[in-house]
Amino acid sequence: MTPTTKAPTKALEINGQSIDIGQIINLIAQYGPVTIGAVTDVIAAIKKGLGVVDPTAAIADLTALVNDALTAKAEADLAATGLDPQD
Amino acid sequence: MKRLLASLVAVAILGTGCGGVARIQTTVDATDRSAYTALRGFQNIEESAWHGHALWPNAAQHRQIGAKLSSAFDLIAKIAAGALALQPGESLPKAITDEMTLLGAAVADIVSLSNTAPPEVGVQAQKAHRQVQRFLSVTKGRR
Repeated sequence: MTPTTKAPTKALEINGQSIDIGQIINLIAQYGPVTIGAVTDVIAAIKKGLGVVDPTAAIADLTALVNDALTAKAEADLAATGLDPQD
Repeated sequence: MKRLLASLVAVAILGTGCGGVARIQTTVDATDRSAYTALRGFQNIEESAWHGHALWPNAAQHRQIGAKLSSAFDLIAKIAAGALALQPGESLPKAITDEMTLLGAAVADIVSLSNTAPPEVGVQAQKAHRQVQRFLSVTKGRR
């Protein structure tokens, strides 16, 4: 994505909107151990926010990605046990 | 964990004010996401086949693929986080290069386990392999 705004002087504000970094950190932290891309997804979401994308939407995207990563990890771990039912 | 996340978030924010760092982070981050997405796409197909009682995968293949995917998912996150925390010009620590070797091996095993799968599965496995190799290449060069 090509940012259409300059990096804000206050890193957490874009066009009058703020990115709640604490909210993002808490969102990830509550999931426990780092899962797939969780940390880098945080960074990606912030980058989106620092472009022009609505920070709220970026956080929603992040939530979806983290949930997907958690599902992926859980499915893989279950399969690895050899106890994953086919039905 | 919160401290680690906070430091990485801070690095990302600071990086936006420093072109070189930001470019490196963007590249590593983008390829990390592509590698994960490709592996996740393969996993979705494999899981669908397993739960659909397809001939491939059998129980042993499903178990082995699960183990490899679980390992690969963890390694992608570890490698990306480690690489993103480095400064330009800073060498990759041995721990990260070791993890990169393990990730490459895990994905190669996934491709091997897919050799007897239907063509569309093989295609997705190869795609995942390519994306992971690109992620490893970019991380190694960090450019």
